Amino acid sequence: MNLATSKLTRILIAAVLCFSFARSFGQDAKLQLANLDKLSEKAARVTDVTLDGSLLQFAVNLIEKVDAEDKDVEQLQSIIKNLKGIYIKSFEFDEASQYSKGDVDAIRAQLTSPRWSKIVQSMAKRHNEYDEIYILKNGDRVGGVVILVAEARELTVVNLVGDVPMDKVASLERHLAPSEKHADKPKQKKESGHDQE
Amino acid sequence: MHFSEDDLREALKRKDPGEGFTQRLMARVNQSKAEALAQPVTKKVNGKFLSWWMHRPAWAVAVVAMLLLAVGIGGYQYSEYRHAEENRIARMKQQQLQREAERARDQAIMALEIARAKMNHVLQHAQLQAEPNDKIRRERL
Amino acid sequence: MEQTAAFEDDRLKLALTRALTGDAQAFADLVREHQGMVFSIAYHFLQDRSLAEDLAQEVFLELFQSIDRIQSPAHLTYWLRKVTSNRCIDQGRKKYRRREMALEEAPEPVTASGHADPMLLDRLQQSLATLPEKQRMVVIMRFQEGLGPAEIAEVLEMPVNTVKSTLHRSLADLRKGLTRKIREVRYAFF
Repeated sequence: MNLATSKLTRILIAAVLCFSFARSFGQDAKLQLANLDKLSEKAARVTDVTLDGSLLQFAVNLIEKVDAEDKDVEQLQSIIKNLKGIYIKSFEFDEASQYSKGDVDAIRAQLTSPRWSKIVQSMAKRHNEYDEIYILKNGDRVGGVVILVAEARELTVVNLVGDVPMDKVASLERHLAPSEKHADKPKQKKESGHDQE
Repeated sequence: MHFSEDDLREALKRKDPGEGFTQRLMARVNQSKAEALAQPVTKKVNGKFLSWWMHRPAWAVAVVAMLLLAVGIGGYQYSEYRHAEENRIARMKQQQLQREAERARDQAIMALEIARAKMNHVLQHAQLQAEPNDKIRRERL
Repeated sequence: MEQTAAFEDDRLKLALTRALTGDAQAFADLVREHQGMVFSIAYHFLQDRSLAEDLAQEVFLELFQSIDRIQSPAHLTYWLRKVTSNRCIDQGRKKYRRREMALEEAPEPVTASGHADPMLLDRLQQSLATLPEKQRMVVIMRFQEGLGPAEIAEVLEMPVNTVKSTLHRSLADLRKGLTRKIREVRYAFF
């Protein structure tokens, strides 16, 4: 093998590795939440959101078309434009202990990778409350966020994939409510479709 | 004034066309035969049908014109119908896409609202836990 | 008598068969056999000799071109009557208005035979010209060709009952027309 061929081969290998890394990185940011679906039957209120691919792009396009003079809208636009996926599973129960520790551990097991960092934790064992916020580091940027709320009568996992401006999410104004028809309803199953990529 | 049926029959007795009728006719027959031989043969199979039309050129022209008009109108109406149908389908698809997009937008806004709420919930709880004074924490909760 | 009729029928059959093969002479025989009928229908209908001759020639020319459709001598007669009456009615609708004919426009007098009054016959023909086309043809088929209502219905493609009522009405109209004409002549002279 001559020098040129050897060099080319090395470049190709590096490209494949980078691609694989990028792909796995993207996949790391997205959690597998299907194991929680069985809780829908016991829950009094379910919120299930899966927005990615072209459906999320639809939303981004529509939001971006709105007049950005409104600061709230501007903020929303700045948050959503870099997102690649929004996944939420939220279950509210009438009674306590409707989900198991194993259900929550299965989520935490996906956050043990060195790239995930737990940045906030709040525990109240007496009240059986365990709330955590994880971020996926992508250099000096955030590549993903997981908010885990595991309380007596609630289990919520929020998974944002993409470049998430945490400060902007936290300060998002409340009155940016969706239209009435798509507002949460009790015992609502499968809020939105998701794009099969 | 009265007349009988016999009077009527008498009035309508057959008449002869006169001398030379047959000769004049046969002359025309022979002429038409010669013309037919000189021209390309009209298909004998459809000869009866065609000859009927050939003797009524005005009818033939009228029928052809009507057929062309019917075909033209029909073709135009069909293309208009197709065009309208395509437009209708495109509009329906567009409306469907618009609805899906609006739904996705609403979902995104709701999702971000939930994320905001939960994030702040966790932050608030974490902050409260950091408070050294339990009493103050309880009051705040 | 029967033998003569049978002989005539055979003769015509033979002429027809030969005409079908393209025999011009045989065709001419057929023309001579039927020219009086065709011409008379046209003449009594159109009341114009030259128009009637032209129409009769057209009918025979059409026969020449359609000779292979003729199945028998009887069919030939039926065909000639049908085509002639159709052409006459078409021609009448194109050119003729129902009108009262002036005396000077009257066709040449019918050769009287027997005890028929020539003037009456003349008036009858004039009155006939004032009838509507279909009515006129029904009268001609009945009194010139001697056809019954069923045969007239077949030739003119009309219901039999319509033929009967048309005949009845036509005779009434002819009488009315004749009475009016006679009065006019009387007033002209007196």
